[in-house]
Amino acid sequence: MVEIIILLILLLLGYVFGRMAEKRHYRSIIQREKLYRDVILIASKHPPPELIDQQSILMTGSVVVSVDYFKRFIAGLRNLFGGRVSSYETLLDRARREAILRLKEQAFRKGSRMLVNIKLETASISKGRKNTIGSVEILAYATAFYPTQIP
Amino acid sequence: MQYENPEIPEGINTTDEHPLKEFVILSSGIVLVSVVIISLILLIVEYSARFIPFEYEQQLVSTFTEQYADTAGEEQQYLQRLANEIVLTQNLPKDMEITVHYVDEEMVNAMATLGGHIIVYRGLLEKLPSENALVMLLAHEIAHIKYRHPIKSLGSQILLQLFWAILTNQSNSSDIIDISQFSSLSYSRSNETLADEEGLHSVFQIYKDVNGATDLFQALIESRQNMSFTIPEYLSTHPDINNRISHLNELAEKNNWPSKKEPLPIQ
Repeated sequence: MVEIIILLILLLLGYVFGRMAEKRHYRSIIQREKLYRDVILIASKHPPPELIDQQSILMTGSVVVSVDYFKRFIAGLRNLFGGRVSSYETLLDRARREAILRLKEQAFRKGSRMLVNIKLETASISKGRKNTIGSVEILAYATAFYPTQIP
Repeated sequence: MQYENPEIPEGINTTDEHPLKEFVILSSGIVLVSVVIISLILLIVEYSARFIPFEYEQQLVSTFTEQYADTAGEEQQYLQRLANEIVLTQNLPKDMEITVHYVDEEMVNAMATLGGHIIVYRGLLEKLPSENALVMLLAHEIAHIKYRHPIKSLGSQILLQLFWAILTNQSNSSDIIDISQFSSLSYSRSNETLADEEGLHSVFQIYKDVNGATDLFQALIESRQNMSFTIPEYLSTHPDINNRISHLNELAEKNNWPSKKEPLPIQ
C-alpha cells in the first residue's frame, strides 16, 4: 500500500514539475531560435566558396537531459503495448534544439554567422544502471567560419 | 548561393496530445489485461481445487484445529451425532471426515473450514428454536465441505494475496500464505445457494418434512448484534437473507417436500 502511495506521489511530482519545466524550456528555445536565426547551419561537408578566405574552428554544444518519473512511467507502459513513445519525443526534441542553440550561441560570440557540416551525436548515460538513471547527452558539433581579423 | 534556415513549425517531431490522456489509456489497458488474466487464473484455481486430495486439506490445518479438540462435552457429542446422520444423506466421498467443534462463546456464528472441520458457537446454538433448524445449519456447512468450498476459497484467497504482493512489491512470502487465517474463508453467493439447497434436502431426508428449516435464517435476522451465518461479515456482503428463505421455500414447493410437522426441540 505504501509503495503504491509513493508511486502515485512520484508520478504526480514528475507530472507537475516535468510539465512545468518542459513548457518553460520550449518557450526559451523558441525565443532563442529567433534570436540566432542569422547564424546559418549547413549540413553539407563542403563549405560554400564565399567562405574560402575565412577562418574556421570546431564548435561544440552539448546538453544532458534527464527524463521525469511520469514520462518514464508512460514510456514503460508503452514498452508493453508498442507505439509512438511521445513522452520521449518531446524530451529528445528539446535536447537536440538546445544543443544546436548552445552551438550557435558560441559561434555567434566568436563572430561566426555560418556553421558547416553540422552533426549530432546521442549517447545515453544509463549504461549498466537501466532503471536508475534515464539521461541522454546530445552533442552538436560543426565547423564555424568567421571573418579573418584584419591586423 | 543563398543559404537560409527558415522557421520550422512546431509539432512535427512531437505531438500535442495531452500526456495525461496517454497515461489514462495505457494504464486502463494494463488494468484491463491484468484483470482478465487474474480472473482466468482464479477460474483455473477454483476448478482444479477439487483435485486436491482431502487428506492434504486435513494435514494443512491439523496444527490449528487442535485448539478446538478439548471441548468434547455433551453439546459436542450431540452436534457430532447429528452431523453423522446428515453425512449419510449427502453421499460424501469415503475419505471425507466431518468433525464438529463446539465453542463455548457468545458469538452468533458457525462455519465450515478446511479439513472437514465445522465450528459452532454457543451463541448461535442458543438462538436456534429447533433441532430442524440446527440440522439445516449443520447440513449447510457439511454441503460446503462436500463441494470443497473451503479449499477453493483458500486457493483463490492465496492467489489474490500473491497478486497483491507482486503489485506492492512485497518479498516476504510468509505474509502471503498464512493458513492460520483459515477460519475466515468466505464463499461466493452461488456457493451459499448450493449449500442451502443441499442443506434443505438433508433436512427433508432426515425428517421427511422441511418445516422449521428456515427458522435458522429467522434466528440470524433476529440476532441483530451479529447476524452472521458462516462468516461474521456475511450479511453485510450478502444482504439477501430474505431471498435465501424464499428460494428455499420455492425449492421445497417444487419437490413437494411437506412442511407440516412440528419441529423437534433441541436436546
